[in-house]
Amino acid sequence: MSNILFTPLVQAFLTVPAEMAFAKCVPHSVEGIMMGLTGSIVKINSDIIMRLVGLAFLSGHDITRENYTGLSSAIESSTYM
Amino acid sequence: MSRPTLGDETEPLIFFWFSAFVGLFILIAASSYPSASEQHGLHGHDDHTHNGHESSHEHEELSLSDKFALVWKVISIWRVQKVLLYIAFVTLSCANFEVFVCYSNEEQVGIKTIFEGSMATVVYFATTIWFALYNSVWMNKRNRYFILAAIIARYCSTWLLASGTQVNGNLTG
Repeated sequence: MSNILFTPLVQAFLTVPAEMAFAKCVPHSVEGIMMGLTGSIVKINSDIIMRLVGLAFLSGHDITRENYTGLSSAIESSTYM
Repeated sequence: MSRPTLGDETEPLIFFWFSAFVGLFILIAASSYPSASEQHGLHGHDDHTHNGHESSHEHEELSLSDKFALVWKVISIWRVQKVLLYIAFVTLSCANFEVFVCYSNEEQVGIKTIFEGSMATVVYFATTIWFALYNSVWMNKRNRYFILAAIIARYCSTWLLASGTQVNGNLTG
């Protein structure tokens, strides 16, 4: 439950101010391109590379629906098995 | 016993390819961006008027190659590189383990995978439309309400998706 609570808050508070500062840094004529650049960087890093890293971390261990109730229990079961 | 692998499961690969398509689509849509930001987003900015007279907007005549050249010149600035490196470091420091719960169950009850995929599609396109509207017609509005709304929307969307996957785990546990 804490993972569900804090993960989007942490991601929002870490990325949104940086994107706003980045939008203030770049000139207006290329602001759309630069926001697209940061958006694509965030999307590729968080939704492709980090999901692949998480799946590769969990792929070698037996984690079923019975013993999986969240991120912490997944890490515990993967380290115990 | 469901053991997740990178090659056998098809749903995660579809999700990854779709995320790659969305990331590429955001970049292409931003690079081939229409002139809405020049038409709607610049009213009220003081840096486009000199001594009370409105100067000519040189950036409206910029071609796409000139824009890319300007982007390359801006990226070469260390102050901008620091922000980009910060964003890359932050996004690369949060490993996501939720894809295991979403797509590794062979028989799923409750919320289906296709429903989660359609919800992700809606969220992605709403995010893209939100960024386009913010960069074009909402640029002069107050930023704090948009930041608050973005945080709340991201929070609620992730809450909904995670609640759906959590229901699947609790029903069989």
